Amino acid sequence: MKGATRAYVRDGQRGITVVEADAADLAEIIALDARITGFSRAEFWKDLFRQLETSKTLCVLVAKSSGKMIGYALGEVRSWPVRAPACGWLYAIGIEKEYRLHKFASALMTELISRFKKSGVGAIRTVIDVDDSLLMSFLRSFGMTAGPFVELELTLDRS
Amino acid sequence: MIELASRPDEYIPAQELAKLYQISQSHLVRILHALTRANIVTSARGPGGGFAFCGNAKRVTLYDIISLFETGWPNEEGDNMQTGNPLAGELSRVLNEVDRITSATLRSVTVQTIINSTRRPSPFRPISKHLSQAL
Repeated sequence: MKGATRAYVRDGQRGITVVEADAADLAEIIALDARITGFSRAEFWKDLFRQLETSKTLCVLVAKSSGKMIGYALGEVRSWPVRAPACGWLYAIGIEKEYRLHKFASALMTELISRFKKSGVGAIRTVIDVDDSLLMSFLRSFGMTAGPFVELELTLDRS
Repeated sequence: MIELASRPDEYIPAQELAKLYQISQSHLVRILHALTRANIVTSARGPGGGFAFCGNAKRVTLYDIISLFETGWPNEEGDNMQTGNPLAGELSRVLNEVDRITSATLRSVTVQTIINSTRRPSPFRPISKHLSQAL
């Protein structure tokens, strides 16, 4: 899902630039993700960036302000085991804590939606923690609602 | 209340709201007074008076509103009906599952989201027969 770099300007003051991540962003995105989530996933991101080199479906966007990385969004166009048409998947979106409520996440989401639309898919899906009201509320503000699928799980007895 | 929030610069008489939604005016006034006590709605007397939304539409959720009127719901403790009856316990677990989903949904829908959703094309696409058969 390659697309042109697009710049967003908020209130004519703080420039928000959303760009596709490249290899030079790897160290910064690992550090940013660790600060946001509270745990390091260096191997996850390294593996993801290796996939990015050849993938036509993965998309990692980063939001920057004055050259500093403020947030990221990870998505992909893919089918899945139930025989539903391919759709855009939002896997993760994260913003540096002190920059929240400054439209960085909105800029990332807007760009990701734009790229999903251009790829021709008819829907965007994600799976989030049922108790994460803040994220759910943010996604609903873009018009996302409950879809036709529900996640079920079985806790396995490992004794 | 969402009607009030969608018309942010207006004081709307209870009579007009009652007529618009075809509900009892006296019942509506009781609801509006409860919302006023919760500082979500404000009121003004006299000509041009009525009720107005005064909360933060981007922060007030449906849960905030419903919980003003539905005390004790949902059961956040996850009551498992300690009756010793396993069937009652399992039924209680299912009902708690429903409550948890309902609560999460209501907590995530803000007044502003409701207003915005009415202004964009409906995203609802009924599940296709083909897809339902595939599942």
